[in-house]
Amino acid sequence: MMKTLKPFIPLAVIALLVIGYTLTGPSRMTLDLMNTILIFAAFATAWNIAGGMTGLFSLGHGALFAIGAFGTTILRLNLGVPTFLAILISALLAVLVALFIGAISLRLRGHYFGLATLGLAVIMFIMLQNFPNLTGGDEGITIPKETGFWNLIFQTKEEYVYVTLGLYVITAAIVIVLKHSKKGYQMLAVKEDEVSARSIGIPAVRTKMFAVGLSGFLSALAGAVFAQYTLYITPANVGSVAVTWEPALMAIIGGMVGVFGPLVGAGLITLLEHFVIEAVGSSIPGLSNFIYGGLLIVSILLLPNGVVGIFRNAYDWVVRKITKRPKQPDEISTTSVDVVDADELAEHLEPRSVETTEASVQKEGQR
Amino acid sequence: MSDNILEVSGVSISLGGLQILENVDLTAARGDITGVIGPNGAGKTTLFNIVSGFMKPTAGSVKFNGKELIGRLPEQIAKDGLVRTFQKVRGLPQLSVRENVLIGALNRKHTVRDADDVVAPLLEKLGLSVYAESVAGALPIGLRKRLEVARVLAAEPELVLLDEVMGGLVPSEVQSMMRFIRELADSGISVILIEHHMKAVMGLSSHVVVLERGRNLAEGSPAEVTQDAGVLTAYLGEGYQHVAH
Repeated sequence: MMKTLKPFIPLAVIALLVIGYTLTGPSRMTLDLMNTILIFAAFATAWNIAGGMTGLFSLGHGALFAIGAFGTTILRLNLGVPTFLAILISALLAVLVALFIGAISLRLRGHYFGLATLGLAVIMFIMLQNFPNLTGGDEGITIPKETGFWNLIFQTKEEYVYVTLGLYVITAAIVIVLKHSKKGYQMLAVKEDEVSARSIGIPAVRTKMFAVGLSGFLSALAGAVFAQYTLYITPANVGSVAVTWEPALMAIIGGMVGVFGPLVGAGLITLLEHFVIEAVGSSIPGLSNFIYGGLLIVSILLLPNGVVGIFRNAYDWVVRKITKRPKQPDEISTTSVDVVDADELAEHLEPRSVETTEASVQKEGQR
Repeated sequence: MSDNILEVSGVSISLGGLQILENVDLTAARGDITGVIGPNGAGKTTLFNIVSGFMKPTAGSVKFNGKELIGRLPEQIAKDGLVRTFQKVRGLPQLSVRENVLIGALNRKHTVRDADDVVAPLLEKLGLSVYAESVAGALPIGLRKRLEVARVLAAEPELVLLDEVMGGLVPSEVQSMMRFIRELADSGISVILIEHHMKAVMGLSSHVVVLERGRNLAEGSPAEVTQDAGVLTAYLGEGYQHVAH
């Protein structure tokens, strides 16, 4: 029992820290940053199911986030669907869209998959702009602040922390369970080498569709909570290209390996954005994007496992120093010649009894 | 059920207008080690690709336990109990040795916990226990070939196709790999070997099939095959005696 609970301990610690800090009564600005970080951490964690764990580098997740945000809002405001049901319906809609896009683009690999899914995000952005009756066009929708748990709308930012934290904890818990499950290992195998995975019985296409679907569902949940939190959604703030690459950026910079990389990435990017805007205001438009670009290049070149990877390496180093355990013997070289040996072949083709062959191999081994 | 675990008959395939295999037959008896040899480009690996479902032949049939495999997906064939290795070791290079074997074991086991039970004994058996937490891609080729075999065995196959598992091994490694393959057959798993390492393939196989330029050239016991004039010519050309000495 302890063993199954162990992977959840860090998540529980994070949750307690967030709650504890919230109880100390931080400023509104700090709370706003915390909520934003937690929503995007959930979004980046959801992205990482496809992008990190299964190797499907999607740049279309903005569309799924937007479906969560606009879907929930339109269902609530135009059709009067109860909030939680509206969230569920729009998340399922996101699953359908994700599976559809998956079905037509999963044959593509690497950059090509990224570009095809980026296309989805762009199409979604243009659609949101061009159905003003439903989406409010470029101005978007202002959601009336009707507070109440069943609306998932609250008066104070403190209360929202519990919602955004809940969103993150649910998303991360699902990923932790997944990581230790058969499906999780199958996803890992598909990411590593699809042919190899299939040759040992892993249904590659089904595994990828599962990853894309689950990732889509959770991304839409994040989008829905974003809508309930900001109460103002526009094609630009939930469905633009800037949104669609945000979870990928966060996961890469934070680290795509562990469960908490996306959280760290979301924290860094959100804070960076905040301080850049605070420092230079809007006097240099696009400066934060410029900095992201630089960060992305630096982290891909120098930190293949993201910021979390640094800590992990440092931890391994400390453990090694303390226990004086040598490095795992993972580099032992043997000379290898991968060709047919003509002499050996000729020698063997001489008619003689087969029984001698194994003996001669043994002799060769002793030589 | 016949005593042939695999029956390939009349398989042909052409790729890009080039006939790779033409009317190839291959039968493997249950519990036996069957060798497939032939000069480079004879179509041995292509034959494995067809049997394991990665390529579709233009004609012919592949029956595994009497059941037609053509049209089935590679992952379904693996579930049926026919698993292969790859000549150019693929594996899962960024995962640990343990994870590689664990993922193989998930072919049969439904939970990670059940699969975990299979891993340790198998690593032990193949002398990989020390490297359990090493990254697979960092291992030298000899160990990676062993890992490839461990991963495939974890999948609990009835028939394994080994594509040049001796390639690049030093003599002592060849010896232990041979011993291991023999143990495999003794434990009831049927084996088909593609091998360029003549001593190994001749020492292990009870039946050898020779392919040349996509056709069946000869077959029989290792002794018969090594004396076949056609085989000698295919490998060494006319006047092979001069090459030999």
